[in-house]
Amino acid sequence: MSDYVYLLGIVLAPLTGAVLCLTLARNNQLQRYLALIAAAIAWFCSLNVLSEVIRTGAPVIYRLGAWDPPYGIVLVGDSLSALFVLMASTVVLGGILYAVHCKDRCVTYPAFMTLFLCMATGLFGGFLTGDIFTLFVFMELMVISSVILVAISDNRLGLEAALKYLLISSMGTLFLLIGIAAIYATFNTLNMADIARLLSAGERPILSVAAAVMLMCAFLLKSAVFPFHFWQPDFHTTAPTPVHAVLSSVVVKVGVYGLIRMTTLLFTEEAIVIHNILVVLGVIGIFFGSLGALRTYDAKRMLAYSTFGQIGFILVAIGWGTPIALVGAIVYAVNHSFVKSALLMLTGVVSSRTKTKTAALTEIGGVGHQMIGTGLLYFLGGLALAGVPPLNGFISKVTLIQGGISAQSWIVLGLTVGAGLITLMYMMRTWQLIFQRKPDEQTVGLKDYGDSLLAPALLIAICVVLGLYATPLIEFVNGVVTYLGTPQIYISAVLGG
Amino acid sequence: MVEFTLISSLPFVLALLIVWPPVRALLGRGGQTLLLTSAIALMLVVYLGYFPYVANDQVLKLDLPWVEALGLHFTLYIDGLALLFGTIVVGIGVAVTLYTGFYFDDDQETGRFYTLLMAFTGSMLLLVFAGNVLTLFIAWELTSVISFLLISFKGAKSEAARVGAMRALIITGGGGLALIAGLLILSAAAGSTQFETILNTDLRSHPWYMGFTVLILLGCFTKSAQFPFHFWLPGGMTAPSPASAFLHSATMVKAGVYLLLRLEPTLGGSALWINALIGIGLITMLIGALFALQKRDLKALLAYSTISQLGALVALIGMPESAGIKAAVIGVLAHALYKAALFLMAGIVEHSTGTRNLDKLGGLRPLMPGAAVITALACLSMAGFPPMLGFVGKETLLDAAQPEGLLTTVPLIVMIISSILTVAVSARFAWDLFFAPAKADHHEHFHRPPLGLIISTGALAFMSLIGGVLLGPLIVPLIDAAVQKEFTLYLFPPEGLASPVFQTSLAVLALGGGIFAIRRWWLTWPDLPIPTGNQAYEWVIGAVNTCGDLLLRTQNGKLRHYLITILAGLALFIILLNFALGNLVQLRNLNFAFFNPPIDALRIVLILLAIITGLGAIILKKHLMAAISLSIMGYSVGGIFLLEPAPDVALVQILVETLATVLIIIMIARLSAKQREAILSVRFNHRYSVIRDVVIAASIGTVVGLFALIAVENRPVSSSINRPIALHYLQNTYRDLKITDTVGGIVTDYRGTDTVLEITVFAMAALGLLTLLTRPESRELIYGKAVQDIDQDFKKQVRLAEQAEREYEKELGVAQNERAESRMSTPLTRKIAALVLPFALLISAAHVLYSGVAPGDGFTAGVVAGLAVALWYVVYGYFEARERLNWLVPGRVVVLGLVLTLANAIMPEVFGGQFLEHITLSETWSPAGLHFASTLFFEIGIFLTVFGGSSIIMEAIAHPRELEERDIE
Repeated sequence: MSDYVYLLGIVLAPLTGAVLCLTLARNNQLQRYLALIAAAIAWFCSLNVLSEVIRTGAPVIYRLGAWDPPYGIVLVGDSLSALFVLMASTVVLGGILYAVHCKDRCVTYPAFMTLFLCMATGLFGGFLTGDIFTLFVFMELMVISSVILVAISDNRLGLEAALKYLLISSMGTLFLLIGIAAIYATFNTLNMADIARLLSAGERPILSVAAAVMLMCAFLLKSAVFPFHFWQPDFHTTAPTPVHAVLSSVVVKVGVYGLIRMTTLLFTEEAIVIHNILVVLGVIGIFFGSLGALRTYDAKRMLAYSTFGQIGFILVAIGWGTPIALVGAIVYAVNHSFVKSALLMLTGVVSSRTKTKTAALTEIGGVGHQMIGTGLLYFLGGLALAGVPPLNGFISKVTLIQGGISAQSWIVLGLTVGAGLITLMYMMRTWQLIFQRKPDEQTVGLKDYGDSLLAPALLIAICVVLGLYATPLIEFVNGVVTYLGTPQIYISAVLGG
Repeated sequence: MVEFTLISSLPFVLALLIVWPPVRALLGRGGQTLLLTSAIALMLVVYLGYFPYVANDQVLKLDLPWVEALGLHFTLYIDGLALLFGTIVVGIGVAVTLYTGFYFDDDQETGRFYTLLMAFTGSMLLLVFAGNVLTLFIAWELTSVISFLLISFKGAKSEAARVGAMRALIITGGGGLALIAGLLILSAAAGSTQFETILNTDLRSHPWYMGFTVLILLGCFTKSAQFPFHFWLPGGMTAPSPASAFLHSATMVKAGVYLLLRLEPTLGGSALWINALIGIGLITMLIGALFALQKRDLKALLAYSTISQLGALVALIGMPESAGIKAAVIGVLAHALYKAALFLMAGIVEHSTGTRNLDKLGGLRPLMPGAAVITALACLSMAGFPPMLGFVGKETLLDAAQPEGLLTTVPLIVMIISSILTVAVSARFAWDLFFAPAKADHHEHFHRPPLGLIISTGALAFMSLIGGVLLGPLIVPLIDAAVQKEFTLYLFPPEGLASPVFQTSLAVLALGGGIFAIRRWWLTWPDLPIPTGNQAYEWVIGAVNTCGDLLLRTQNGKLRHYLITILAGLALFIILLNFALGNLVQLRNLNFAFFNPPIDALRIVLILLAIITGLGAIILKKHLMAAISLSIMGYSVGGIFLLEPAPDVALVQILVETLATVLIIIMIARLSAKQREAILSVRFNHRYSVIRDVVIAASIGTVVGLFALIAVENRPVSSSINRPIALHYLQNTYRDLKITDTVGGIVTDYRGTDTVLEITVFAMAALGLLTLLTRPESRELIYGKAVQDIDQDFKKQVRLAEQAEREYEKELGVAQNERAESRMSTPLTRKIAALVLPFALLISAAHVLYSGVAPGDGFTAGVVAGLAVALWYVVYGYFEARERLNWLVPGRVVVLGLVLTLANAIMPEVFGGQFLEHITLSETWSPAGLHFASTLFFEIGIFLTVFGGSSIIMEAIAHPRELEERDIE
């Protein structure tokens, strides 16, 4: 059994970076660049993992502590987790790049970069782990780091939002823990491949359904899906911009990833019922999130609600359950991450120029009038989010619709496509408000400099490239979905034989 | 074909070129105009030259793969129809490009407009040449987006421009969504996204025909401004005039018409198609003409007249047996020529006089004789006066609507009425603007339009005349290529005056003239009471907004509501899944062996104690008593673990319980009785809230209890496929690790990564607390409205705040010390505390060193040492304890612990092993029964992290800053 060390590197680089940042607590500037290097190494490792998975066509694993599964903990890089972790590490790299030049006060705190990197560790590990209890631990690391990052935000409301999320999230933790306990009690193993093997061998102990519900609810809570979404707008909006960019784009995808895993690998029999629930919740989420985004009072909050809606699109596609629809879900998830993080950073760039660092719609009218580059990027990002060609959002939309056609779920397809118009409405309205009109007389004067445009520009470039040259992504995801159709590959790659 | 593609991409290349300000500066305005106009003119010549290649239904094709997995190809499919539309685009484009060079006062605006204009030209050409539905859709959306930018071209200043642009985008974007869904369903039905395949498939009998046709029609109708979506077009008149002429009359709004023409061979002829197209088309035609008649604003008048004409085209395409195709194609060409000229003329008039209002304008002929001639020509064509091209258009239109049955007389009548109204509109535009006497001295500021504007407009108007006169040699070959059916086309019918169509035409002209003559009478009428669609739009938007507001109300900030909803959701899903999978039924078959456990007096006592103290924690009114009761419950559970026997778990349980109790007691001591009462009153603020809380708590307890029972009763047994990992650990710990404590082995070795992560979580929580406490006060934080004008006295404020803070802390310190002395600090307790810490550290060291052979490990060691520190804070008070503990910097201890842990974990990897691999450093050398392995460093790291972390938490809780709130109260 060969161990692929880059897999470890993805998790270890940010964790080591976090600890090293702590030892350099006195030199904030150095901390920032160290964090950037750590994120870059993680990104490089995830690129390696992806290319290795493509090259060998089989999952790669790393046995932590050299214990063979199912007795020890393994990291598993299959095509699904490799794709998600590459997406996540790209956005995290962007987020840290943004933070390096960020003018927020909280970035100067000694623990900021450490917490950021710990959040990234939890995120990457959550995608990679092949052990269901380690998944829980990684999620805890992610939750506690993000809670503190929000609590120390420059936004005074951050503390309250963080506290609320901590309490609500502990519900999710409870769900997950009960689910894991139920699984362990019934199967006496924590290794996902082992659980899948037992489930596919026809073992259906009574608690397996309970475990499925608990895991599903925990993942739904992580992705802020109705009715578990209440924490999300407050928590995301008050986060510091670079953190918000990561939270609203890739951290919410942990739940999506978990749902895909549990319906394709573990609970393949229960999947039909879960799929129906996901479609209903997805449609509710689409409208709740989109309408919320349309009517809320703050540009950052709008994007947080928008994430709520966009997750709905992904859930609907997972819920349709056909292979084509699943391709749509994964492509949508990947593309949305880049667009959303870029848009959040652009909003941050704009509000960093105002003296009160606000993104309230009543106060940032016309603020971006002179910011041509930012305006152009925001326009592109808005169109990408609304699925206008030739940007990557369009590719997502097409795969989503093709998924709906393949499922012949006409009413839901109609609702889903129709709701896309609301996205166009709120994005373009906000663009007009911030960038097109001239500022009012009473608008507070602007600072001469704000946050750097580098990170969002790179992310928008990714959106453009993924729109114009989508073949590699689509074909890769097609391969992923074919692979997910036979969970036996995963099981034998982890357990051998 | 490659050459054709390259030359068609010229506009995109030019757009990319002039988007750079340096290039613009280099070329200057004249250079830009010259370059772009000649480029587009070159394209016109090339396209005309390509007509022979598409005659006789030949098709030019190009197919490049793009995103094949989606069926997206870069495909060009150029038949006569596409080439004719392309020729119209570049033909009108030449005039508009030239015109633009003279239209704007500002060079910056010219450059910006040119960029958008070129991008639009390229997109529009891609739209008409596309041979793949997705390629077509991409171009379709691009035109919508550029149209949005052009309508809001003056959006910086004009609210109307922004609103109009948004409205246009929402309508065409919404149509775009319907269209993409329709096209994808169509492709799924036809099995291909390529037009070549779709056009050769008969889809009229497909079960999805109804669905995708309706969706595609929605897309076409919104784009081509059909009733009831027509209102975006007049709203889009805030665009600069060349954009209105190009996008909103000649080309973009014809995209819907083009797609209908494109798909007519494969979708047309069904009852749905005929009824929808003729019905909607005729309504649009009539309404457009009626509204056009009433408008005072030149561009609004032209916009409604365009809507009317678009309605006519749609109705023609819907005629059964493809009878109207010829008329539609000629109509597109004729309309593009005269309407673009008139829009450009409206721009000239506005440019020269400063207004577009017909009530204020008049008598412009002496001032602009050339413009008068041009307008007259264009209006004659619009009215359908021989020998203009518009006349041919109207002849073919009336010919296509020849009554053959009773039903088809309705279209004919509507078309005749609309034509009559159009004649009146044309007359009004030309006559009232140029030939009627001037209304007032509104032409004081008149300045002559630049020659470039007149020439470019004139060229289009003269083409209307030349096209009519030289119909045979010039126009017929173009139409011939575009229309697949056999047809005849002539300026004057061979029957001469005997032709009924010709007679009708003349009658229409006469009646239209009559209506125009009595305009003084009907111009005073109030606006027609026809719903415009605008109100419906506003209503829908309002309803959507209201829905959003209502939904946002659920986000009320009340944590209690959130949690209840979450639990309700969980309950719902449990029920749903259980019912769906029939698992509830199985519950009945369960046999709970729990009720006959091994009878054991100690066990029973402990269980009873746990139950009684658990209830006590709820019932007891004194907080301290409740807290102690709760902790006794925890100890009882620990006792049960001890009997199980699970000494490791019991140890951790008891230590954590102690730590929690200490924390709770310290916190209770810091809150005043009043505050605690206030908290209680919040909990019981409503009569039913107690019942509700009890119900929720009881249900959760029942469900979780049931879970536990089932889990205990259904422990898996070793079978051929299931090998429980617990068994494996128990059997192999000594073999693998040379230690006897299996729990310790799992924690530091088998699942060591979990431990690394968990202590990181612990460290992050502690560091977060530290950061929260040491960060600047929130009053310094810059956010929101509250702090404006910070720059002036920000620093002063901060300095004052800091000073006040220092004095305050000094005062508090004294107070705290006094309080502490009076309460806990006796000579005895001080002695005990002083002794406890070294002892605790000693116990910790033992736990760490012997973790492999006895219960207790780095974590318990850290908690024990942390408890001793807690005792110091309690006994000595915050300030003295800090002074005595000056050697202990908890933050650094945490960092040290993390560094050690990670270094230990990484080290094997560096030397060719695995992350966290177990390394026995010495098999033989084991002084005092010590197992000397890598885990030892791991345990030390865990100890340091937990110790440092709990010290931070203790310090945070003991910090007197918290007193501030109480003093305020």
